[in-house]
Amino acid sequence: MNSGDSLFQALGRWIAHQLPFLPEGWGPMLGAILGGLFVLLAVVMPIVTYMIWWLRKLLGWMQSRLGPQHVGWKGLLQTPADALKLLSKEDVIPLLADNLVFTLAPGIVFLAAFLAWVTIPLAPGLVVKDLNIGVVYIAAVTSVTVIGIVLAGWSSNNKYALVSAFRSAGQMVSYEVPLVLALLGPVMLAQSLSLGKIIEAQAQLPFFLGWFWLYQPIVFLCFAAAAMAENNVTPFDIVEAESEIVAGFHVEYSGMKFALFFLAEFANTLLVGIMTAILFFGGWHSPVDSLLRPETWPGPQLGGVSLLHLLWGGAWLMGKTILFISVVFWIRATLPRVRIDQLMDLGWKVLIPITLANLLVVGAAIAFGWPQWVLAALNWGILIGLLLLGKTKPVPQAQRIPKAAVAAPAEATTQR
Amino acid sequence: MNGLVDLLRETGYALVSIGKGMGVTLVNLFRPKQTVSYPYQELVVPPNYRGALNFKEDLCIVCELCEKACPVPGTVTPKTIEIIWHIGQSKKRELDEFYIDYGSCINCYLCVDACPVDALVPGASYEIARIDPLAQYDRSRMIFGKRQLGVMPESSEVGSYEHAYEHVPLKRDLQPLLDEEPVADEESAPAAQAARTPAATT
Repeated sequence: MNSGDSLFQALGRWIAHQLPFLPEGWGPMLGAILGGLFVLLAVVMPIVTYMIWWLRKLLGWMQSRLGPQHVGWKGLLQTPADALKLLSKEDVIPLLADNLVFTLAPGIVFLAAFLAWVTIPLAPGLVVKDLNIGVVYIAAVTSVTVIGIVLAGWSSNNKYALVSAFRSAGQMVSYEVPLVLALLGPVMLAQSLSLGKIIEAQAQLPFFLGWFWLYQPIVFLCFAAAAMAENNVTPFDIVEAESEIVAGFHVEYSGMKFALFFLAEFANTLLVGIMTAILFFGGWHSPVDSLLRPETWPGPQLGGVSLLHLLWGGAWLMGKTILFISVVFWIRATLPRVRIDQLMDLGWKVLIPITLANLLVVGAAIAFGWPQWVLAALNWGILIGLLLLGKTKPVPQAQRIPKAAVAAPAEATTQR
Repeated sequence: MNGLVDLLRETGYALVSIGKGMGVTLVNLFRPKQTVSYPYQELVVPPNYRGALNFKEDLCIVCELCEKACPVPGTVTPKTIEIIWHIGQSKKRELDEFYIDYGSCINCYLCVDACPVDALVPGASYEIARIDPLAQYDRSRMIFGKRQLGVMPESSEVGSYEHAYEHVPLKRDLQPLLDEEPVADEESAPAAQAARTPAATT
């Protein structure tokens, strides 16, 4: 299948063919609009709605509670009810807020969260536009969120919101670099920036042996940490720390504007889940694809892919995404919030050196033509070594004896 | 070199600790939940629970000690407990009406302590607002008479723990304690035994 001719493009071309009065070149544009609407309204919004329900259920279960269970069967209608409530609320704008920016900010955050979905493949052949710079595009678009947050924090004219905006900017400089460097690992292994090609590159070996997490486990952990920092989920939610700065940048927001922030946050979490599945866990490929060979399945064709294959692949990709989202929620239920200096410490002193070293190693592996198992052995060896080393409790930093004091204790005392 | 090993050990220790913490939350995910979904599922209270008062009219000797012991004035009446009586044909006091104003009652149970014949006992009900099917919009509606107080559920007897906790899933380590026979002196043991059997069956 030609990567430029997705299902939606074909659909748009067909519609343009039916309507001859349309000017030349409107087909692909119609296809893009239809695809965007489909992804936004039929995929992302329902999933995000039920992600919120799933988060509340999972957090409840992990805290020996039941979670929402009153509205609808097992509380399934709780989130739609909340959305309706937020829609019917009065839209309050503080007296001294900057009206234009205050109104614009939730839109920017919402837009940034949903723009990335243009290039995310949802199933084989089901993508609005598989950009050949997909990974760079996603990294660029998702970081626009921070602009929205800073605008919201500034225009609210509230000291907590302002502190949150500053924190968000400070947080961004520490996670954005390792995030992009971590993305480069799979990109270098696949030799492409297009998400479709990255997924295809992971299907070259049988079963799940080609999936990149086997070759990049350490970078996978770095990516997970940086992506969670980008999302402001709990261990890194210093931007909206309830106990310190009330709710951060969205203290002053009410009604649908608040709902936009809320939806954008969950859409970002969903994006992290699906990016993890695509970049490290083989995308829409199942572990048994090398036996079943779904690309040869018969049946009606849709955008150059068999319908059965599309459903099978889409189900696997969604399943993996839900699994990783659940892991994010699980981490959210477990870990306490870090301080901003701890986050910067982690970003600059741990994640950036590790991801940079990984770039060197992967580059060397490609340049010298090392077999892939060397990369896997190196990564897993280091990771397991770290875990074994970490089984003994480290001496706290304050109790460590500096080398100079051990070598010449007499001198040290006389000098003082 | 030592510093590098320390750094690596710290990193490894961080990973191991995160794993341990996530193990704890994972175990809790599969444990039975502690919540009682109240309006659908009612918590049967522990024995000797001090809920809304139960009044036994046939035991009352109209000594008015409870009224004297009551420390709070009522919202509409001078005292939270109001007793109305007359002298009967046998020259004894006879009870006409016994009121408790739940708008001002502070549940101190001094009246229970003062009662010489145990006509007032703490009950098992924690749903005072639900005695009348409608929520009260008037202070005078919070005053309950002897008929309402007489049908208040009593606390369960000592020794019927199984009944008390039947809606609440127990932690595993509490179960052996409850399986043991309740320790009681020889006199009250048959009584407790007898009291438990109907409680468990109802």
